Amino acid sequence: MLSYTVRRLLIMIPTLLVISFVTFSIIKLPPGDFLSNQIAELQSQGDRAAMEKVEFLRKQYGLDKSFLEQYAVWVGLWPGERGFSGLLQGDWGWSFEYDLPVGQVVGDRMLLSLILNFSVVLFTWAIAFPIGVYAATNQYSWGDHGLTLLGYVGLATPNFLFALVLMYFANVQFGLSIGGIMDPEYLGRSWSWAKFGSVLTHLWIPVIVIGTSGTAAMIRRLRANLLDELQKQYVVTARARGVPPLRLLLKYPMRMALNPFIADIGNLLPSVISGSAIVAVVLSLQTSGPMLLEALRSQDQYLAGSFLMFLSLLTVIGMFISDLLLAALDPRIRLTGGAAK
Amino acid sequence: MADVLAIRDLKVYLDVDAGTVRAVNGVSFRVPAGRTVALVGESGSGKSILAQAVMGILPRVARVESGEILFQDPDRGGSVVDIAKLDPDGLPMRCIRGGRISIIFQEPMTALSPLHTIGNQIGEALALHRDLGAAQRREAVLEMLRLVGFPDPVKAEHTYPFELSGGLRQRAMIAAALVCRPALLVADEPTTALDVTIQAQILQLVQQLQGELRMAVLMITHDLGIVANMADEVVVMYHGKVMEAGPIEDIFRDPRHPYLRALMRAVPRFNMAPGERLTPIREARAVTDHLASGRGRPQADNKAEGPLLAVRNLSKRFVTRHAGWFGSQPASQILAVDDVSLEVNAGECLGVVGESGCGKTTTAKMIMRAIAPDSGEIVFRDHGTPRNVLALQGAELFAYRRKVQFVFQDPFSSLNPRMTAYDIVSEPLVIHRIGDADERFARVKELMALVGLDVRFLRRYPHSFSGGQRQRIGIARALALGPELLLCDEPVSALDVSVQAQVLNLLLDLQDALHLTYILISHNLAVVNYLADRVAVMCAGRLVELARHEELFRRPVHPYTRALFAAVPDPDLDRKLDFTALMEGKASNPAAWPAPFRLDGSRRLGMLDLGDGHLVRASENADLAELRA
Repeated sequence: MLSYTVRRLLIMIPTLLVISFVTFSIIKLPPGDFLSNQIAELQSQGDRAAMEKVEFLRKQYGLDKSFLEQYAVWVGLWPGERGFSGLLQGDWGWSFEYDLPVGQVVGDRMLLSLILNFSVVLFTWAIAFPIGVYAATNQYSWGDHGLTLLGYVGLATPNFLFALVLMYFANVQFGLSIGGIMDPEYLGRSWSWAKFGSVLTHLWIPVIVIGTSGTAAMIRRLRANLLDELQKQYVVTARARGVPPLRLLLKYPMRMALNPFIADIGNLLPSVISGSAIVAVVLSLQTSGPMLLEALRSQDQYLAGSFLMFLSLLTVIGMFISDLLLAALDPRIRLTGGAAK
Repeated sequence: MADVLAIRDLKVYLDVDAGTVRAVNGVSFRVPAGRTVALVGESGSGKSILAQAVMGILPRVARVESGEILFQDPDRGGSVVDIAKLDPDGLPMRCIRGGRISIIFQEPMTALSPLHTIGNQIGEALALHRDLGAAQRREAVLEMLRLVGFPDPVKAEHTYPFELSGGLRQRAMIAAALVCRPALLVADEPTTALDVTIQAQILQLVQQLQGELRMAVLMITHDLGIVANMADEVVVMYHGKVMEAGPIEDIFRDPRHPYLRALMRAVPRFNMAPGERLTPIREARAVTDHLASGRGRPQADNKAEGPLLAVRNLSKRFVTRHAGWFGSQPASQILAVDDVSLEVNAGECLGVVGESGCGKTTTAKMIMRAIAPDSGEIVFRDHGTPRNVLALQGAELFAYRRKVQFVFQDPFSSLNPRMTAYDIVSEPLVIHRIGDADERFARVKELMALVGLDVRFLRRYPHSFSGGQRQRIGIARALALGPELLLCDEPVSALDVSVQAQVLNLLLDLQDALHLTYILISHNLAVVNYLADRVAVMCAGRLVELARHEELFRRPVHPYTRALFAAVPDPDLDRKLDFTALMEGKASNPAAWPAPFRLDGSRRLGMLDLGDGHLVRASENADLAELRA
């Protein structure tokens, strides 16, 4: 088990290196760079001094260097203007757009994203598990059919549309402005109880909007998994042993049905950061999603690149955690893992 | 003596889409305390539904329509409970279920939860039904594990079901069922999924525990051999009704009901007269007249010059790997097939017997060229020209595939559920580009008639056929290319007794009509005895004995062969199982065999000829006369 853990950790290194290279190549694929947009603007105004500043910036940011050199500097494998200072050294790079280090630009928003999306995950699980279990144990009942219908509506409705509808009705019916993740007055201020409270009162709308489709998908999956397990022989055996119904359900089929959800943790972590970008734009939430979108559009290469690298890191770590959890929970994986013909 | 269980005019109905199925239709019988009652019938006779009704674990579509299931608990001074009237999930029923009445199921592979240890699952029943502390509970679990024959109960307690062999799993299952010392044990086909030698051990165990715990047993089975060996009374069920019931002596010595008589004639037995045919309960006649046209009929001129197929010194090693730092490394090796040599003559049926894991299927797959052997030689005589099968490539290999075909064990998973019967049977013709659409259709119709299926079935999908019908589709597919050699891997072991006879007779008729050569792989000795001319016995990857079938069954020489024969329950009251001949499960361990047969690396073993083609694997300097005695 220990050697497995260490091996998994070591394999993450080359994985991340490959990802960083692919990410950077894709960001650099469109012609031009962040400054070429600005140059075009300045040239139309004929601003000499500004042009010189752009040339200075291009040199300083290293945008005149070759692609490989830029990549190596960004990762921290090659000395740039400030020596070895890249991802490996913990320097996320410089955002052109904000004229600030990426770390500072992202920090606050990342926190808000985490709060929002963990709430979404909790919401999803809290709603989906009881409903999924109910639907599976009462298959083809009216309750099952009704919840199934509701689930399909939830699955089929685009999130952003749902957000717009909610915004419209909240405004028309209650005169509420539900956009944003907190009252505008707290933006940019340091954290306080009042700010936290404001976040909480604004949180429920995006949580419901983002959570519905996930909840619906999860209900369907849990129902299908449980239905498979419920008719397995070992459940009948346990029942024949005299195990009471609820305990029977939780101890045997539920445990088996959990595996796909644990395996899903790896996908969950990156979606915590980037998943809800479009909804965030519609609801003008100050989370990280819209920022990533904007950085990619304006070719703010280090901001976008570091962002994506952070996501990749989370994915890889998430996979690692779910693998370890699976091995801990399921003896078949723990004890027969790796033994193949 | 009081009856533990008395069932009176019980009716259990299933509500399905097509209407109401009367699965159990007015059944009455009793189970006396401390005795064994066998409930016999083919699948669909309602015997399993009856068991579920007794346990109160009927599926949702089933309901008890009327009747009584009276359970009289000897420990409670004879107070009688009607299980049919109890709420299946209510407390009184839950106390009886698992506590006073227990059940063991057929499939030890799936009947235990893979996520919980054996100890956990055995202890669960105790925790529910007995008021014991944790330490006492553990003591009871260990005691039970010892009782069912786990060599090291302390270690076994912490193992998971998938770490155990089928036989040990079934023992764990029995331990979980008996740990509360129930008054009645329902055993639903407890040994059907097991090898004969293991089956005999499990039957012995049930009998022994029954004596120790003084419980009654309701044994549900389709195997008349098991009934003859285990039961005190017999109840025969057919289509939800009791056909015949009574003490075992009456039933076996003088079966009255035509169904029971038919059932007894449908089972292959050891003491059958030469040339005696089985009488299937529902006959399916093969129509072979049209074969006179000659199409698809292999040349009969292949007889003269020696064996059709010769296998020499075939070996195959499987390597299990475990993941290392870089890629995977070989961890351990399993010798699946070790130095097997045998010959199959044209037109004969060679039976290969042995328990699961003995390498019989691997050998067949190597003959098929589905697995490559590590060493050895396979020679196939193709119209008089010997061909080295292992060296065949490209077009030659493609042509070889037409000569040798395979019939699979499981008629359910070996047919593609998304193809119609016509697609399935005609697929080999399409692959080998034989004929145009009309010709193929004509050929498929011939094949369907050949295996006794109606041509109107051609547009149906596999799920609408019964097990026996599916197996006949599988046989038709194997025959489509007009092969000379047919490898049948357990062709009837997934089928009901009544259907078994049907398929066995079909194989017999086809061999005759088409001059086919068979290699018949089976763990069922009676089946092999019925079909095979010569029988090869395999154990732990080695061929241990080979002889003509009457010779082998009359005078088995090798200790493994003897143990194998001793383990088969014969449906004959005068020849009951001799549990002492089982060698306590050591029969399949080559190191435990007595002297000239033992494999300990010090002496070379070879196939010694005892005369008349009777070969046995023994030390090369063994005394032949002594072996023959």
